[in-house]
Amino acid sequence: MSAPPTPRRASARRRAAELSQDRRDHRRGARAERRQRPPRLRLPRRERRLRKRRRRCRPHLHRPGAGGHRRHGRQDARARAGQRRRRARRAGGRRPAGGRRRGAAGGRRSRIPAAHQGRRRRRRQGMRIVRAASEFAAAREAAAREALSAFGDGRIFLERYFDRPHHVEVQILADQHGTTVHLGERECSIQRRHQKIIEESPSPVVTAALRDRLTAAAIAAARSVGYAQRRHRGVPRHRRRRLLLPGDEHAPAGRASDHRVGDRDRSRARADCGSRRVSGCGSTRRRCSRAGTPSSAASTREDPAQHFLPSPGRIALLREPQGPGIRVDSGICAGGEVTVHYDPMLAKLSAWAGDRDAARRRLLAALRDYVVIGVTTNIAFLSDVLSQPAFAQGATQTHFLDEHLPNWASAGRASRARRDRRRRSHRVGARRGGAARDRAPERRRPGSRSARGGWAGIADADRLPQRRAPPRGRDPSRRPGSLHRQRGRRRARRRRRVARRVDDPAPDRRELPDRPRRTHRRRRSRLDRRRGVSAHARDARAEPSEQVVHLQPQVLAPMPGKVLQVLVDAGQSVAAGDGLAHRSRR
Amino acid sequence: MEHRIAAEAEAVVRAVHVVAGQMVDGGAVLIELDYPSKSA
Repeated sequence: MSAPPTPRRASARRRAAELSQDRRDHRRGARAERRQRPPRLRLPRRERRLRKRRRRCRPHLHRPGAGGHRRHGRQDARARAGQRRRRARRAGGRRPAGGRRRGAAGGRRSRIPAAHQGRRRRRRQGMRIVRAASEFAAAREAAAREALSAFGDGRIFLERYFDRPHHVEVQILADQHGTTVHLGERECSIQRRHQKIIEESPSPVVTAALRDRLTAAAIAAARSVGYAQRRHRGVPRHRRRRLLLPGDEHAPAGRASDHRVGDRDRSRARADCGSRRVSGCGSTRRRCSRAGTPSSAASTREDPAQHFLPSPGRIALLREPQGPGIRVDSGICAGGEVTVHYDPMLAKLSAWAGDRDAARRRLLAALRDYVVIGVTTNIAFLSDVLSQPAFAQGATQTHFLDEHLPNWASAGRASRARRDRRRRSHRVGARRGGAARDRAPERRRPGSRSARGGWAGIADADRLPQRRAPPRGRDPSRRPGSLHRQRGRRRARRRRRVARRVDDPAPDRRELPDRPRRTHRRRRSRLDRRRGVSAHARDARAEPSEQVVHLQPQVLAPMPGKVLQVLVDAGQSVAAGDGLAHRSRR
Repeated sequence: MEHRIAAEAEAVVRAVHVVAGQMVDGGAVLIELDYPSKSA
């Protein structure tokens, strides 16, 4: 006779029975739920085969795996991978047994100049260049501080800095089948604060032999991390032709210059990636043909005359250039608000032509036709960069702006000071357009003088398109806007004013000051606008007495942010260009 | 993005209105300067 179950065993059996009942209920409920679903659509067999084949053939673009991210996702790992590849190349293809990490954190064997960089980096944020050993500690602290505030990771590493390099990038396209192609290189050497502002393709300094080496190295680097995504690979070209391959992990917004390298070629390359796999060819297409020379320039809402400080505001008038070989990629419109909280880029303007000089001239003409009123942009600055003889000759380096346009800011300030004087003179003497200016904003005609605040002398009006040519048969000197016509209008206005004073001698009207006479300088500036002479060129020929800069006694914060460091104390004397404070955007 | 604010011309710092770590709004006065007159 068996002993009765103990209370502990009984409770265990009860819990097991309850659990199994729960499981049965769950399965029953799941079966009931499945029965309520609509039946799956069963496609015909042929359609199913086609869909399966399409799935297999379609280039499947994806990010690299965790290993690829570890190897190329961070700047320091990327630099080490490049060093390993170079050492392997020097060793004749053998994998090196080991080696000292030159250039890694610690920098024991790094040479000056060197660059402190954040371990996680975007657009060269957190990068500080050290040109003397005394600057080492300050640069390290600044780089770590900026990297911490931008990415939450204050770890930095050190690598050698190449002075006066060419910044050449190679764009790569790869799929999951191992097919990797390149879409040519592009020159991105015109940079400000390590951010490119003008791109062109092909690079004027890359020869055919060097192009083969660059593209082969870029493709090998992409394959080494198993990357299957369109990506950019930055290849600085040093004077001694030493190659580095800092791959750019993020896939930036489509570069217009690459699109124009060959829209047809890229689509064909993608199609080939799939079709050859299906046919079992297995060959690798590594080159795309090139047609034409594209150039592109980025227009930003930064004020070049104020050390490229942000210039937020509302766009009052927007007129984009059009024409053959011209493309504008922008996200702005008239009436839109431009804030400081996003990237400063407003638009990307691209020009395409048969050769480099034609593309440059076409881009320059398009920039002259580009009108953005309401926010200060760098369009005039870009025009002056493209007009430089060194740029036309292809002598572009990353320090191009420092060498060829070092005083652009001061010239721009003089231009703005003259513009302010012109505004004041309008304000004192002119009542023209006053009624329209006082009209409600919604009733103002877009693009009219009233929409521009009633003033015609604003800087961006320099680039307004020229007036239409008069119809044939008319005297050109009598066309609207000509000096002859304006003199006639002025005489007529003066006659009417005198007549009004005689007829209606109201004291307030009599006390209105007369419109100032047009001086020789104003007439010359008007002629310059017609001839397309830029403000920079006008300032370059201006007399020293004209370059009067109105200095502000108070230094204001250009946008919300945090004061990182105050560099001066009360009572301290500072020279022009000396730093006063460091601040970051909120 | 970190910005460096620089003096436009030779001047003497009259007053500093901010300290390191302070949050400021756009348009806030950071530093006051005295520019020497032309006759001086």
